[in-house]
Amino acid sequence: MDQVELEDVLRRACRRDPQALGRLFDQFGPRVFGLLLRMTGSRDVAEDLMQETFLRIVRTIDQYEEAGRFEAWLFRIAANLARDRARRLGRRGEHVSWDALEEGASVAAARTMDHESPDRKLLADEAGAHLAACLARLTDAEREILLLRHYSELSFREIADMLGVPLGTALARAHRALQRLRSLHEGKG
Amino acid sequence: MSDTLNNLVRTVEREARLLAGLPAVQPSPECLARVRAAVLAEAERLGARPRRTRVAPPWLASAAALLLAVGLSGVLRHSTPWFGAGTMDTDLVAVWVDAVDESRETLAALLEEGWMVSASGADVDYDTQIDDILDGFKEFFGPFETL
Repeated sequence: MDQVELEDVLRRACRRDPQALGRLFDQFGPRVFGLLLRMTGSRDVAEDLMQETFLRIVRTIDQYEEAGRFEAWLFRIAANLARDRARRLGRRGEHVSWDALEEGASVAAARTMDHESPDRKLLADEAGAHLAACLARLTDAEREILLLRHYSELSFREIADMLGVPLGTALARAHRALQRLRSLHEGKG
Repeated sequence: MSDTLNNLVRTVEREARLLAGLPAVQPSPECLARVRAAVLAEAERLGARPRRTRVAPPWLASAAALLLAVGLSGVLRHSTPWFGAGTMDTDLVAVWVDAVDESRETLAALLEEGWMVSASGADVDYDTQIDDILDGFKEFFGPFETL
């Protein structure tokens, strides 16, 4: 969906046109799910939060201002929901188990293995699963900024605005997070 | 943006390519269908009725405070003998209870008819509304006058 088409869909969505809202979900749902899955570590929770995110969009779409980027608004809602959940779990002394997710990711990856080059695909899948496991070992704030960049495809300037921090702070946090991630991924962490 | 920030942006963008190795994750088709249906149902539900938001006209607080003050002073004036004399007239209590019940119904009707909740975006005729509200308050406090 290009920018012109997106603007048209958003105009109709602001009038709560069900077809337009359905288009927005089709377009952004999987990316929002990806962010939520990597932030929460649970497929069930990510699915619930994805639904909650889009229901909030439907309920408040009339407040959306065209001056802002829709993606920034959408991903801010999703990230806030995941952060609130993490805070609630933290208060109750509960922790997310990431092992099940990574095991699930490996199984899913193996299921979609390319039969023409199975070894290469398997290695890539293993490396990907390892990278995801390393990502899970970052702090919540480090992981959040990297995931927002990866899944929302917003610029660091827009992400800094979204998080309410100066651009330099956002960049420094992302830089530190990426260095830690690389170090963990290469087995130095 | 300063050169330092520009350089940092370039460095971080380059390092962020590492994330391209993350395995793609997709919600299940059942989940996609369920959430999509929920989104459409919510859009239908909200789209099927006029958008209504709570709008409290600016004069409402002062009008309500004034009328409540007048009403309360009247009520207190009437209520003093009950408690001061140490006796309770059961007929008066029954009238009081009826008046309270009636006033609740009046208030509920006023709210339902759009006293505080008015259609967003519609032209609101506050002059007519305030007349209606004052009439409503008059009716609301009428039973207390007979106590």
